[in-house]
Amino acid sequence: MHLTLSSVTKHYGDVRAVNDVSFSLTSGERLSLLGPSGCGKTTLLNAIAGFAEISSGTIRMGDADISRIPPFKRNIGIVFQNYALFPHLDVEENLYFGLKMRGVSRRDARQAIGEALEIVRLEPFRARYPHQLSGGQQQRVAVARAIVIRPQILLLDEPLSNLDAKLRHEMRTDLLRILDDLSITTIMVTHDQAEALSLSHRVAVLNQGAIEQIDEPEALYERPATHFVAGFLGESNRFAANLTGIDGSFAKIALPNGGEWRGRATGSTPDGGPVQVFVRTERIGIGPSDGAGDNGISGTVRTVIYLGEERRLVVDTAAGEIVVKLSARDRLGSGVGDTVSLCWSAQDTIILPGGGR
Amino acid sequence: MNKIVQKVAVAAPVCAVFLLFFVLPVALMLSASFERIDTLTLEVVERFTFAQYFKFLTDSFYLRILLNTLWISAGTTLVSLLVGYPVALHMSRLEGLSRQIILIIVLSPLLISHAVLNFGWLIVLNSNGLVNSTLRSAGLIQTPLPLLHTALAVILGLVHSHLPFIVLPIENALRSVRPEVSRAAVSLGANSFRLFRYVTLPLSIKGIVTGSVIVFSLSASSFVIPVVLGGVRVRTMASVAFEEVMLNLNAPFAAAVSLLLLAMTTIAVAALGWIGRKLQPPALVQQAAKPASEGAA
Ligand SMILES: Nc1ncnc2c1ncn2[C@@H]1O[C@H](COP(=O)(O)OP(=O)(O)OP(=O)(O)O)[C@@H](O)[C@H]1O
Ligand SMILES: [Mg+2]
Repeated sequence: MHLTLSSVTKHYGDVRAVNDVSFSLTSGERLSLLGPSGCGKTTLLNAIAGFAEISSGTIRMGDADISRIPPFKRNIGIVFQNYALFPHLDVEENLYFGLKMRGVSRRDARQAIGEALEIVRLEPFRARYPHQLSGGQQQRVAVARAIVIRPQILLLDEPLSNLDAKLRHEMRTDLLRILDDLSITTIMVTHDQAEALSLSHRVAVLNQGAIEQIDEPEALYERPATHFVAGFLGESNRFAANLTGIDGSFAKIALPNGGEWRGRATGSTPDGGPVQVFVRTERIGIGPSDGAGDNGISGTVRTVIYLGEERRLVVDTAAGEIVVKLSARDRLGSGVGDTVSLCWSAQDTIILPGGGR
Repeated sequence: MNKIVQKVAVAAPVCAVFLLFFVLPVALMLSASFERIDTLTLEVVERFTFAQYFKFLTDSFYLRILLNTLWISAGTTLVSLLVGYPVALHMSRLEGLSRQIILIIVLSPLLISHAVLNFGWLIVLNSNGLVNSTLRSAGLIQTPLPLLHTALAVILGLVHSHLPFIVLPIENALRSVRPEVSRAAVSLGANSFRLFRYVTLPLSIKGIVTGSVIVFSLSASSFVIPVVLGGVRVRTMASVAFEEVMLNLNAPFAAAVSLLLLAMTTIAVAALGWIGRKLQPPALVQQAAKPASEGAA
């Protein structure tokens, strides 16, 4: 089912919790909402589900305007952050609830419930009560309860946030499989970037109630459109610089310290003036630069933090402090106090117009 | 061994209080209820006899008072529930100052002495009272309705004074239902009525039972309100016991009446508990049982 939001705004008093949000999802598409705490993700889901009456704008499901339809008539499945299972009903009854509301007899419901439990792999637990289940199992019951009614839209509010890291990984794979099987139009809120990038077709980054950018995961990560998105996704080093010229697909930039780098030029890159340069920490290597398109700078290692999978280096350079993330495979011949040369490709040097900092 | 000593040490004060304030009085009353005295000389003429119980249980006058007490208490519980539940439901949805205000209103009967509360109802219900004079000036009645000294008046007074004891447990139960649980029900297609019927109500049974037990027990043993608002026409077990001991100086009979009242209340409370367990969803029964078993381990 298509879902289209046009200029949806929600005020809480003076606070614009959702500010002029517009996007459109095609049938079966999955969107992740990503953004800092308090940016309005839950409010946006509540608006779509009908629990928060929108101040202006319209929400359409298919061709129907559902902005003023009460929530119990919207046929939208929701999985809440805390699962919100019915504590007084066992797993089977939790799943039957939505079908009962639709007038489905218990006998007719049996097959649908069986299928939903099969999808989430919980058939052996059908007679258990919520408090007899682990967090991961409860989460799957919540998903099963939402999908058994065959909703036209599925909303997931931080569905994995209550789980520990390992279970979360497993559940992410499970959830991806379930969502792929169902191909229901889905919106998922998450704090976890990896979750957003891996589970959805498109990701929307929200900031202060408004959408900063909405794009496919790779495009969003590789070609951020705003300072906020460039800084929010992943971890970047940020430099203020001046754009001095365009040379084919490269832009020439001058740093305040006199250094010159080359960055990636896109259609929206200006011809000159102040710019912000973003270089992701994991794209920087150690060693002399070896390509023509590469940028480099030398500096002194201030700290090395060992993180198992990776190592984080903080290097003092003439352009300021630069954070480098080295994978465990990269050999590190240097320690604190050593001089190192850093290099990265011009392709990984993101240039966005504007001053600041 | 040490553990047993510890447990005894912990339980001792509770047991002492229980013995002193419950077991001892009941035991004394029990022994008194089997006596028979000469009501003129007040001398005990028989030490062990069922005469008092026989007198009560074979006299339809007294049996009617027992039934009367039962139905006034049950009626009070029912009316309290019907009035208190919506208040609790509303209150459970409020936060901050507005909840504080409702809370103070709900608790107000506890802050007012029963004498004042009764006086208020006397003003409202007597033959020249608020209700009658209003109806009369509206031309709806010619002669005043006999409102005072009826079971209805007693129930009104009891409901008023015991409302906090039913509102608070129910509100507490409703407050523990997460808003997301209600929203989940709505998102699954439940309208307001079905949300109430299938989610809110089942999840508040515990509060309903707790509140009902308290209100029933307090109503059954209430003395001042039935006497003032019921007068001589509406008599309850408590007022009979009072008259027997204070006016007729027949302590053994008063003791028997009191013990029969205690028995009636115990049976009613047990029945309420049983109904509650029948209605209560099994999950909640198990959850309630859990901390106890952990505590024992
Ligand atoms: N019922 C409400 N009344 C007033 N303000 C509210 C209400 N609900 C949310 N807000 C405000 O709206 C803004 C967005 O809140 P929302 O819960 O949507 O954030 P969120 O993105 O889901 O945050 P988180 O990631 O922490 O869950 C916040 O500033 C919040 O304080
Ligand atoms: Mg939220």
